[in-house]
Amino acid sequence: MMDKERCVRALSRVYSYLDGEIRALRRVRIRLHLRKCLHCERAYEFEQRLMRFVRERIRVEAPPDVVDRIRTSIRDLRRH
Amino acid sequence: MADRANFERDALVHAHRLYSAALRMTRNPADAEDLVQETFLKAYRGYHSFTEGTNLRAWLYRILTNTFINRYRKQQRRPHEVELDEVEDLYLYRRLAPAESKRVSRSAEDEVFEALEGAGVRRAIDRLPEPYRMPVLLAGLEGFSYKETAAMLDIPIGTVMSRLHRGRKVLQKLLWEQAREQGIATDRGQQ
Repeated sequence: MMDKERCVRALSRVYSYLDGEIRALRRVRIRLHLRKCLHCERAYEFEQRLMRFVRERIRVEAPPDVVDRIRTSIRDLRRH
Repeated sequence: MADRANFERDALVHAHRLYSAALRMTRNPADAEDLVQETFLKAYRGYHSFTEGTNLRAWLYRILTNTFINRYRKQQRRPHEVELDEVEDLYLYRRLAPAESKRVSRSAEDEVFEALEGAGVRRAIDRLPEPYRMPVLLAGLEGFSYKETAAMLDIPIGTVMSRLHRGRKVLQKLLWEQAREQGIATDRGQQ
Protein backbone atom coordinates (compact mmCIF):
# COMPACT_ATOMS: atom_id res chain seq x y z
CA MET A 1 0.00 0.00 0.00
CA MET A 2 1.20 3.48 -0.81
CA ASP A 3 1.99 5.70 2.13
CA LYS A 4 -0.60 8.22 1.02
CA GLU A 5 -3.30 5.59 1.39
CA ARG A 6 -2.06 4.76 4.85
CA CYS A 7 -2.31 8.44 5.75
CA VAL A 8 -5.85 8.74 4.44
CA ARG A 9 -6.83 5.67 6.42
CA ALA A 10 -5.09 6.82 9.61
CA LEU A 11 -6.65 10.28 9.41
CA SER A 12 -10.12 8.88 8.84
CA ARG A 13 -9.83 7.06 12.16
CA VAL A 14 -8.51 9.87 14.31
CA TYR A 15 -11.67 10.27 16.38
CA SER A 16 -12.50 6.64 16.92
CA TYR A 17 -8.87 6.29 18.01
CA LEU A 18 -9.05 9.22 20.42
CA ASP A 19 -12.46 8.08 21.69
CA GLY A 20 -11.01 4.64 22.45
CA GLU A 21 -13.57 3.06 20.13
CA ILE A 22 -11.24 1.12 17.89
CA ARG A 23 -10.09 -2.50 17.86
CA ALA A 24 -6.72 -3.26 19.44
CA LEU A 25 -5.10 -4.38 16.17
CA ARG A 26 -6.10 -1.20 14.35
CA ARG A 27 -4.89 0.86 17.27
CA VAL A 28 -1.48 -0.76 17.05
CA ARG A 29 -1.35 -0.24 13.27
CA ILE A 30 -2.16 3.42 13.67
CA ARG A 31 0.45 3.84 16.38
CA LEU A 32 3.08 2.30 14.10
CA HIS A 33 2.08 4.60 11.28
CA LEU A 34 2.22 7.69 13.47
CA ARG A 35 5.72 6.77 14.54
CA LYS A 36 6.81 6.89 10.91
CA CYS A 37 4.68 9.73 9.62
CA LEU A 38 5.23 13.11 11.20
CA HIS A 39 2.44 14.64 9.17
CA CYS A 40 -0.23 12.34 10.58
CA GLU A 41 1.31 12.49 14.03
CA ARG A 42 0.91 16.29 14.06
CA ALA A 43 -2.69 16.01 12.92
CA TYR A 44 -3.41 13.51 15.70
CA GLU A 45 -1.74 15.74 18.26
CA PHE A 46 -3.75 18.71 17.07
CA GLU A 47 -7.08 16.89 17.33
CA GLN A 48 -6.18 15.61 20.79
CA ARG A 49 -5.17 19.06 21.95
CA LEU A 50 -8.36 20.55 20.51
CA MET A 51 -10.55 17.97 22.24
CA ARG A 52 -8.86 18.58 25.58
CA PHE A 53 -9.08 22.35 25.12
CA VAL A 54 -12.81 22.29 24.33
CA ARG A 55 -13.46 19.90 27.23
CA GLU A 56 -11.70 22.23 29.68
CA ARG A 57 -13.41 25.36 28.37
CA ILE A 58 -16.94 24.05 28.79
CA ARG A 59 -16.39 22.95 32.37
CA VAL A 60 -17.75 25.47 34.84
CA GLU A 61 -18.32 25.39 38.56
CA ALA A 62 -21.97 25.47 39.52
CA PRO A 63 -22.63 28.57 41.65
CA PRO A 64 -22.46 27.60 45.36
CA ASP A 65 -26.08 28.57 45.99
CA VAL A 66 -27.20 26.21 43.21
CA VAL A 67 -25.54 23.25 44.94
CA ASP A 68 -26.95 24.43 48.28
CA ARG A 69 -30.47 24.53 46.88
CA ILE A 70 -30.11 21.01 45.48
CA ARG A 71 -28.86 19.75 48.86
CA THR A 72 -31.74 21.45 50.64
CA SER A 73 -34.37 19.99 48.35
CA ILE A 74 -32.96 16.48 48.76
CA ARG A 75 -33.08 16.90 52.55
CA ASP A 76 -36.65 18.16 52.31
CA LEU A 77 -37.59 15.12 50.31
CA ARG A 78 -35.94 12.81 52.84
CA ARG A 79 -37.96 14.33 55.70
CA HIS A 80 -41.27 13.64 54.01
CA MET B 1 -29.32 -1.81 45.58
CA ALA B 2 -28.09 1.57 46.68
CA ASP B 3 -28.88 3.10 50.06
CA ARG B 4 -30.55 6.52 49.97
CA ALA B 5 -28.63 7.52 53.09
CA ASN B 6 -25.47 7.66 50.95
CA PHE B 7 -27.04 9.59 48.11
CA GLU B 8 -25.93 13.02 49.18
CA ARG B 9 -22.36 11.89 49.76
CA ASP B 10 -22.02 9.85 46.55
CA ALA B 11 -24.14 11.75 44.05
CA LEU B 12 -23.69 15.39 44.93
CA VAL B 13 -19.99 15.36 44.04
CA HIS B 14 -21.14 15.15 40.42
CA ALA B 15 -23.20 18.35 40.67
CA HIS B 16 -20.62 20.59 39.00
CA ARG B 17 -20.05 18.31 36.03
CA LEU B 18 -23.79 17.86 35.59
CA TYR B 19 -24.35 21.59 35.80
CA SER B 20 -21.70 22.21 33.11
CA ALA B 21 -23.39 19.72 30.81
CA ALA B 22 -26.85 21.11 31.62
CA LEU B 23 -25.66 24.58 30.75
CA ARG B 24 -24.54 23.46 27.32
CA MET B 25 -27.81 21.59 26.79
CA THR B 26 -30.18 24.38 27.85
CA ARG B 27 -27.83 27.28 27.06
CA ASN B 28 -29.00 29.40 29.94
CA PRO B 29 -28.20 29.33 33.67
CA ALA B 30 -31.79 29.41 34.99
CA ASP B 31 -32.88 26.38 32.94
CA ALA B 32 -29.59 24.62 33.72
CA GLU B 33 -30.24 24.98 37.44
CA ASP B 34 -33.82 23.68 37.08
CA LEU B 35 -32.62 20.78 34.99
CA VAL B 36 -29.92 19.75 37.46
CA GLN B 37 -32.28 20.21 40.40
CA GLU B 38 -34.91 18.00 38.79
CA THR B 39 -32.26 15.44 37.83
CA PHE B 40 -31.08 15.09 41.44
CA LEU B 41 -34.60 14.82 42.81
CA LYS B 42 -35.48 12.10 40.29
CA ALA B 43 -32.20 10.35 41.03
CA TYR B 44 -32.89 10.47 44.78
CA ARG B 45 -36.36 9.01 44.34
CA GLY B 46 -35.05 6.28 42.04
CA TYR B 47 -31.81 5.61 43.91
CA HIS B 48 -32.97 2.18 45.06
CA SER B 49 -32.89 1.09 41.40
CA PHE B 50 -29.24 2.10 41.02
CA THR B 51 -26.87 -0.85 41.29
CA GLU B 52 -24.07 0.04 43.63
CA GLY B 53 -20.62 -0.43 42.13
CA THR B 54 -21.76 0.49 38.63
CA ASN B 55 -21.10 3.86 37.05
CA LEU B 56 -23.03 6.46 39.07
CA ARG B 57 -21.96 9.35 36.85
CA ALA B 58 -23.34 7.57 33.75
CA TRP B 59 -26.55 6.82 35.62
CA LEU B 60 -26.98 10.48 36.58
CA TYR B 61 -26.23 11.66 33.05
CA ARG B 62 -28.84 9.31 31.73
CA ILE B 63 -31.47 10.93 33.97
CA LEU B 64 -30.16 14.38 33.03
CA THR B 65 -30.38 13.63 29.31
CA ASN B 66 -33.85 12.09 29.58
CA THR B 67 -35.15 15.00 31.60
CA PHE B 68 -33.72 17.49 29.15
CA ILE B 69 -35.19 15.70 26.13
CA ASN B 70 -38.63 15.31 27.70
CA ARG B 71 -39.03 18.66 29.33
CA TYR B 72 -36.75 21.37 28.05
CA ARG B 73 -36.23 20.48 24.44
CA LYS B 74 -39.79 21.29 23.41
CA GLN B 75 -39.60 24.83 24.69
CA GLN B 76 -36.18 25.60 23.28
CA ARG B 77 -35.77 28.47 20.92
CA ARG B 78 -34.13 27.54 17.69
CA PRO B 79 -30.45 28.41 17.69
CA HIS B 80 -28.74 30.54 15.13
CA GLU B 81 -29.11 28.58 11.93
CA VAL B 82 -25.87 26.93 11.01
CA GLU B 83 -24.74 26.09 7.52
CA LEU B 84 -24.90 22.34 7.34
CA ASP B 85 -23.32 21.96 3.94
CA GLU B 86 -20.67 19.37 3.55
CA VAL B 87 -17.76 20.13 5.86
CA GLU B 88 -14.45 18.41 5.25
CA ASP B 89 -12.72 16.19 7.80
CA LEU B 90 -10.13 17.82 10.08
CA TYR B 91 -11.61 21.16 9.08
CA LEU B 92 -9.77 23.32 11.58
CA TYR B 93 -6.41 21.62 11.15
CA ARG B 94 -6.62 22.03 7.39
CA ARG B 95 -7.38 25.74 7.76
CA LEU B 96 -4.04 26.09 9.53
CA ALA B 97 -1.93 24.13 7.08
CA PRO B 98 -0.12 26.53 4.75
CA ALA B 99 -0.25 23.99 1.92
CA GLU B 100 -1.39 20.42 1.48
CA SER B 101 2.11 18.99 1.85
CA LYS B 102 3.24 21.09 4.81
CA ARG B 103 2.67 20.56 8.48
CA VAL B 104 0.92 23.00 10.73
CA SER B 105 3.35 25.11 12.74
CA ARG B 106 3.06 25.32 16.50
CA SER B 107 2.68 29.08 16.32
CA ALA B 108 -0.29 28.89 13.93
CA GLU B 109 -1.85 26.33 16.23
CA ASP B 110 -1.26 28.43 19.35
CA GLU B 111 -2.76 31.45 17.64
CA VAL B 112 -6.07 29.63 17.14
CA PHE B 113 -6.21 28.36 20.72
CA GLU B 114 -5.50 31.86 22.01
CA ALA B 115 -8.25 33.31 19.86
CA LEU B 116 -10.68 30.76 21.29
CA GLU B 117 -10.00 31.70 24.90
CA GLY B 118 -12.91 33.29 26.71
CA ALA B 119 -16.39 32.50 25.50
CA GLY B 120 -15.46 31.35 21.98
CA VAL B 121 -15.70 27.63 22.64
CA ARG B 122 -18.97 27.84 24.56
CA ARG B 123 -20.50 30.02 21.88
CA ALA B 124 -19.50 27.56 19.17
CA ILE B 125 -20.98 24.59 21.07
CA ASP B 126 -24.19 26.49 21.72
CA ARG B 127 -24.60 27.13 18.01
CA LEU B 128 -24.41 23.42 17.18
CA PRO B 129 -27.88 22.13 16.30
CA GLU B 130 -29.13 19.88 19.07
CA PRO B 131 -29.08 16.54 17.24
CA TYR B 132 -25.33 17.06 16.88
CA ARG B 133 -24.70 18.89 20.12
CA MET B 134 -25.89 16.04 22.33
CA PRO B 135 -23.59 13.28 20.94
CA VAL B 136 -20.68 15.73 20.77
CA LEU B 137 -21.28 16.68 24.39
CA LEU B 138 -21.79 13.16 25.75
CA ALA B 139 -19.41 11.03 23.69
CA GLY B 140 -16.95 13.64 22.44
CA LEU B 141 -16.52 15.74 25.56
CA GLU B 142 -17.88 13.91 28.60
CA GLY B 143 -16.10 10.74 27.52
CA PHE B 144 -19.02 8.31 27.50
CA SER B 145 -18.72 5.36 25.13
CA TYR B 146 -20.75 5.32 21.92
CA LYS B 147 -22.84 2.56 23.46
CA GLU B 148 -23.57 4.53 26.64
CA THR B 149 -24.38 7.62 24.57
CA ALA B 150 -26.78 5.63 22.38
CA ALA B 151 -28.58 4.39 25.49
CA MET B 152 -28.79 7.89 26.98
CA LEU B 153 -30.21 9.41 23.81
CA ASP B 154 -32.26 6.35 22.93
CA ILE B 155 -30.96 6.23 19.37
CA PRO B 156 -29.02 3.49 17.53
CA ILE B 157 -25.27 3.42 17.97
CA GLY B 158 -24.77 4.00 14.23
CA THR B 159 -26.75 7.23 14.53
CA VAL B 160 -24.56 8.33 17.45
CA MET B 161 -21.47 7.70 15.33
CA SER B 162 -22.70 9.55 12.26
CA ARG B 163 -24.01 12.53 14.24
CA LEU B 164 -20.85 12.67 16.30
CA HIS B 165 -18.73 12.63 13.17
CA ARG B 166 -20.75 15.35 11.48
CA GLY B 167 -21.17 17.32 14.69
CA ARG B 168 -17.44 17.49 15.23
CA LYS B 169 -16.83 18.78 11.74
CA VAL B 170 -19.52 21.44 12.11
CA LEU B 171 -18.12 22.37 15.53
CA GLN B 172 -14.68 22.85 14.00
CA LYS B 173 -16.17 25.13 11.39
CA LEU B 174 -17.92 27.14 14.10
CA LEU B 175 -14.71 27.32 16.12
CA TRP B 176 -12.90 28.60 13.08
CA GLU B 177 -15.55 31.29 12.64
CA GLN B 178 -15.15 32.27 16.29
CA ALA B 179 -11.37 32.43 15.93
CA ARG B 180 -11.70 34.62 12.87
CA GLU B 181 -14.04 36.94 14.69
CA GLN B 182 -11.28 37.36 17.23
CA GLY B 183 -9.06 38.58 14.44
CA ILE B 184 -6.97 35.56 13.63
CA ALA B 185 -5.09 35.94 10.33
CA THR B 186 -7.86 35.35 7.85
CA ASP B 187 -5.75 34.81 4.78
CA ARG B 188 -4.43 31.49 5.99
CA GLY B 189 -7.66 29.69 5.26
CA GLN B 190 -7.74 30.84 1.68
CA GLN B 191 -4.28 29.67 0.77
